Amino acid sequence: MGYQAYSPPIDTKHYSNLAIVLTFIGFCFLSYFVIYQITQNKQQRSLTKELSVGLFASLFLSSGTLFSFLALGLYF
Amino acid sequence: MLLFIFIALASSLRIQKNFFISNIERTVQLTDRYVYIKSKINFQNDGVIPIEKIYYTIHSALSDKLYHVNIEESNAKKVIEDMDVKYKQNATVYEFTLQKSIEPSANLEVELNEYYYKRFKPMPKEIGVEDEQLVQFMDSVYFFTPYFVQNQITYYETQKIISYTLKSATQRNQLLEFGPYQDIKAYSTQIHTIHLENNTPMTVFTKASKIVEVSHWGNILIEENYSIENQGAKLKGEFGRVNFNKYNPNIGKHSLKQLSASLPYDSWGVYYRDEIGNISTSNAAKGKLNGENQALIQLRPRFAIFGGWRSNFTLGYNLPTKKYLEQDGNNFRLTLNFSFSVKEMVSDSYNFQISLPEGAYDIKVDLPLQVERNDTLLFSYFDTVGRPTIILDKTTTSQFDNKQIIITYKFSGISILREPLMIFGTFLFAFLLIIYLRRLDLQTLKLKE
Repeated sequence: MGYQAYSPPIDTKHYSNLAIVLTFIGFCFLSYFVIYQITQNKQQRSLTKELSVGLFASLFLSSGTLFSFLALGLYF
Repeated sequence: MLLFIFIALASSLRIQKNFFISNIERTVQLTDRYVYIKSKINFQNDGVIPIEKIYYTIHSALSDKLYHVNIEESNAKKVIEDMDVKYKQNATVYEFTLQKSIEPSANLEVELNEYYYKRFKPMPKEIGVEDEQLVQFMDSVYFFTPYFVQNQITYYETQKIISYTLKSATQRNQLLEFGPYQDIKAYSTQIHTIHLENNTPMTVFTKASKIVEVSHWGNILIEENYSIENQGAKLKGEFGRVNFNKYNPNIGKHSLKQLSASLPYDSWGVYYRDEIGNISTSNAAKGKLNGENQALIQLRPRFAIFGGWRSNFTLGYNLPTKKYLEQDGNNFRLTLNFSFSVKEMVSDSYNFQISLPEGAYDIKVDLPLQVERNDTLLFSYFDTVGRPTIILDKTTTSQFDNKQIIITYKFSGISILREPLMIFGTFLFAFLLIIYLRRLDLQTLKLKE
């Protein structure tokens, strides 16, 4: 196999849309996490729920941040 | 001793006895910023051996001012070390290999192109805003060559001639004709000067650099930094906006008002700035130049650059990886042009820096030019071990050095996930910390219900 033109895993033109959508979903998870932390006391909270919400929030927020950086022209 | 003689013999130029220049016609263009000399040379071979290589010598007084030399009919050029010429004639020798050799009792006409910069000496040294710039040009009456010259004629094209030292020359308006001269010995020199008018700004880049950052997320960032200096006649007195009317083209003719750059057609996000910030006097358009699709940039410096003045500016742009980066499994190949984008100028020193993404290894650089290479690591956004960076340094650089540089390296597919995982880890750590802290029991006294 010879050399072929390289294209990134995700097309650069989708970066800004991805940034907006993923950050929005991330914020939804984050707000749910915060609400859950404040409304329920320590004894009522379930650790699995906290962990899963936290995991999804960080997953979406991190990918949102990543694509925001890329959309702003800050490539790494 | 024998070895010494052998080396001495091997290094001396092999000029065949009956090989000479039967006719040479030199046209020296003194109308532009830089000096261009076109010579039509007719070589005559009256010997018995076919000639494949011809030599061009340049005196050491001019060798650092010559930024390019070529012979149309040759396919290889190299500088050769010749002790005899180096110390007796104080000159450097270029060896040109001809496309087809000159057979015995045959002749060949070749075209020699010489490009010089910094050849003009401003005279007077200081002029006003409205004055014409007068410069002095020094040259040898005879073509400096290791060959015997049978017949030579030289033309000097100028904007306007003020005076010249060689009285036997003939002047035809803006054209000065030297010769014809017959039977000139090898390495003959006779200095003469011409005093002429040349209003083009004598600008050079004292320093130029190009920084390239390659990202596997689909972008190649290129930033070029320039330090410009006008080495023409200095400005007399103080600069005033009243005297200098920028809408009048007859005023400040010897100051640099505009530059042009050409970028690759698919470049985007072009910026032009300096230490203060964005310079708004620029224009960009995509079009065809010399039959090639290009993005043409018209740059006007923040102020007109008069003699003795200096300025710095930055030109940056982005390129998609599609055309410049190629992949074959884990192997990557990057193709970039060596020289800078302001194509009309020559730079005294040039620095080319290429940063590959973090995690690239087994880097090989294919260099078609004589440059100095240093490698380092660059630490930028989200970098932990540093991006492998290749630094190439070259002295006098012009568009003739705009060769393609091919860099091959290996990069594993997982390395691209390094930065996303770093961001993910940071967020996850923050959430886990909150969960943990919210579960801590910091009350020392238990309240009884």
